[in-house]
Amino acid sequence: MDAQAQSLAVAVPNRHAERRWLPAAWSGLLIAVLSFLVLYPTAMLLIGALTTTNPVVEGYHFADLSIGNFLTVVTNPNVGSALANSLIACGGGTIVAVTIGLSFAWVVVRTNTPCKGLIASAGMLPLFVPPLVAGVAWSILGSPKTGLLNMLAAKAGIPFHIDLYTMPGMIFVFGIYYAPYVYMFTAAALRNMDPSLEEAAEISGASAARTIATVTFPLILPAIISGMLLSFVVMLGIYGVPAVLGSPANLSLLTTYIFALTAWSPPLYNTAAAVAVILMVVTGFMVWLQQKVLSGRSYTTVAGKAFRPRPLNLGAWRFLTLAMAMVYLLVVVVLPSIALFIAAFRKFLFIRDIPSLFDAKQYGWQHFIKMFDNPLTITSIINSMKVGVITAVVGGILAFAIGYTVTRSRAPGRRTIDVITTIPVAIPGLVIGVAYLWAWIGVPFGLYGTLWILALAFVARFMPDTVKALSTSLMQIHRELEEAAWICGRGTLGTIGSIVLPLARPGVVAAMTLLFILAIRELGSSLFLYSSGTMVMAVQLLGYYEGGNIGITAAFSLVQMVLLGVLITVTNRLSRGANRASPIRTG
Amino acid sequence: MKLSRRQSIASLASLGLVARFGPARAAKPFTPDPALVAAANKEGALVLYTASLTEVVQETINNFNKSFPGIRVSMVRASGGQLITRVRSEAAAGKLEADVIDHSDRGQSKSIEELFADYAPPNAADYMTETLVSPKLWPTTTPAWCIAWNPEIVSNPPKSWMDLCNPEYAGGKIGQVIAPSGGTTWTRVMFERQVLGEDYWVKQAATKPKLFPSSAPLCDAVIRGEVAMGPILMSIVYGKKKDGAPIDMIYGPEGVPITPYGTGIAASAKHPNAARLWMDWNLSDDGQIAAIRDQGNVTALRNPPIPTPAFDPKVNKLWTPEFGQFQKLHDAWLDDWNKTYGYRQ
Repeated sequence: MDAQAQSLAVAVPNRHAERRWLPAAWSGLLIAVLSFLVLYPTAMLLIGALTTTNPVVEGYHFADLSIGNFLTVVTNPNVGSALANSLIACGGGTIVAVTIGLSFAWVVVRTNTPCKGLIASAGMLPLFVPPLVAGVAWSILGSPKTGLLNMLAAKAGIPFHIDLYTMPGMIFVFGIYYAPYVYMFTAAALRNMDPSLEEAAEISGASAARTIATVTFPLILPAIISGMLLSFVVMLGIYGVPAVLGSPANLSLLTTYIFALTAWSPPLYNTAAAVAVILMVVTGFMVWLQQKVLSGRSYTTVAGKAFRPRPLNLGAWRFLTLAMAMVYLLVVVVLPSIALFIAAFRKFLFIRDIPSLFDAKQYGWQHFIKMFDNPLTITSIINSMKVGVITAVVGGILAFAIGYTVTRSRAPGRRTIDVITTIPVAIPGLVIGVAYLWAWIGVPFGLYGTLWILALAFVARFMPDTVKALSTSLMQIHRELEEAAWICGRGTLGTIGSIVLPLARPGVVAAMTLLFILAIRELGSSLFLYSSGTMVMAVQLLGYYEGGNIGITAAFSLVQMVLLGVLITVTNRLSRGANRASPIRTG
Repeated sequence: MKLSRRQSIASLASLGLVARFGPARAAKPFTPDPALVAAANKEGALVLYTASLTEVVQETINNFNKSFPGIRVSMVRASGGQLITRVRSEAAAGKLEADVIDHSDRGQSKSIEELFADYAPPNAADYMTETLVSPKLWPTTTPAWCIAWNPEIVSNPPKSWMDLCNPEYAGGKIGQVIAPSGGTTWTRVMFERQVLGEDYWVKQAATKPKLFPSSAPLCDAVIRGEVAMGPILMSIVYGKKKDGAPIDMIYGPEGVPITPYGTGIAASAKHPNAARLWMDWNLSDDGQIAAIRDQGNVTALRNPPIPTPAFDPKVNKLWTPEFGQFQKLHDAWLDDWNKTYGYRQ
């Protein structure tokens, strides 16, 4: 061994020794950040559930800890009934969402159905609609007494009567509104899947249906389960739909129950916190179940080999899939949009008969004029856009860091990071909002009262959604691609920058877009963290709704939908640009 | 069909024609101390925490700014329970942003009395003592409960509170705001039990009313025809009626439950002069006239500066609960109410 080689042999281990602490330091940093964002507020929530006091006001009295609140809620039959209703409504809604979202993704990504671009864009519209507005739109359509669909059917002499103020009504609305979540996950996975696997099945003589059942769907199982879990837990935390559709039938879900506890005078936050902990247990079980199902299997579908997704030629059947997609769009997009338009432009929502529905004198811009006369409207739009961008950027970076560490590194503590990241998914926004307030109000540097505290709350609250969305993309990238970069002398950061990030870019863009949308819509944590100068759209929308003004609520929702629609169009284009620039796809 | 006197009152044409306790007196124009105005203008801003509806408060802000355009009023709005939680938490952390705190539940305001500064308006002596619960808290707003219905679907409207127990309206025609929703509703349910009879809740619950979280969504449901009628705050019905919505209302002849707010200046106010000017103006004749004329509220002033819309002093009598009972009976009676109406708690 010559001197140069000898010095190299010594230097390399030394350098490795020097850098051995880096992964541990990196994990420590992530755990510190997550402790601030997740563990600290969650601890405040648990303290709240175990005491009868406001920890900020009365301080921490650990000697007074008791399970009294839990005993109160566990022995309350109404809590049991609300829990059962939640599980039925959200479980049923998830089945509907998975059925629709998965079919929809397959039609858009893997078939030659005409008008796919239109179907894909329009199908995402429900995602822009705040749940409260979705509930209102469907109550306008499907109320047993005044529903437009019932009115039209009666006029046409059709023996049809729909009542959405029921459990099946809630399941239906939950299902159609959360189908886009499943679609987002499964469409991304289908796009990234090497079609040669399906071609192999076809060559082996498998029918199209058998190929889908035995190759396609099993390969994207992580995405299906992630989408399913996400839509289920998001539904569990939704207040708007059950508030509008469940309340008239006295159907209480956990969220409406919790909201009532926080809104009553005096508020019962400690009881609400105890109910929230029950919800956390349910969600925690679902997350554990997901990991149990996925553990020990490989779902890698993106390897170093170039491929071009090949749409399945459906022949004449493509018109059937088109017709089905159109029916879906009619139900999910057109009908509720018509209801919202009517509500936004009609002076009052009392519709005496069908001719009155088409009476032009009943319509005008009055709700929009009134809405923009209120200076808080513009303030809230500007603030929401700012906080949405901050949340998307900060949350996107953090989620990528966490997703990469958990799914692709061997850093110590990555399992702990994964578990901490998942916690917020289980806590309803209405309760975690108070926990954020209790936890962060004392943070120095004037954080409280700024848009940043809202953004941090959103980053923390939606971290599980964002990380899950990203991890699905990351899990599909074969390790051999990174190994190739390392062999060529690239460091970890260089490999991430040149290999992982470009390949995962559609997933990153989708995750950041999702984060932006969720941040714009988030109500629960905004309610307690907004200040006089940081009013956001979700709070303003609730203000209009609680003011009993459905017209302005609908008008404001339309404005929000248009803003989000523009944003999604832009990101879609960016994402497509990214796809074109991807080294894998260009070979 | 010949309309009864009360039904006639319900028509829009009669709004604003009748007086309250006695004849309305001449209004005294608001003439604040120029030094206070200068100091408030120098501060230039005011943060208001309120449990009232955003649109209603914005209207008040607009009226205030017509006289004092140099003061930018920012609002933080939350429901009663959420507002108190926020105020307590912010105050404990030394970060209370509010200059003025406005709450419909005087009991809740009283429970944080130490957070308010000493304050009395220049016309303090003009206010009814039975509406005051603390020398720091003042009734800037006094909403009143009325009975409202949709005339497009109700041919035989209710004429009294007792009519809301009529089996004719059974089967979900009546909407009812849940008792635990806040101070205004608690006042109404106290009125029902103390004035209309111990068995009033039982009789009304027998009609199977639909329950709503607050007055505003109930008002919307009446206008849409989801329910036909219900007890609603006049301040919510009044604006809709003025805009031409299909809704009519009367004040019940057995009494008109009112909820004087408990509003005060935060001891830690960063804009104390702007806060004082806001309170002085709101409690002045000018402020109360705006609340009566534009929002359909009543006033806690002994003699109203203008007649109260739809209120006939020969028929209608204001009713406000005794404050000791307002606090003492709260939990037990709400529990009773929840059981009687089958409301989950």
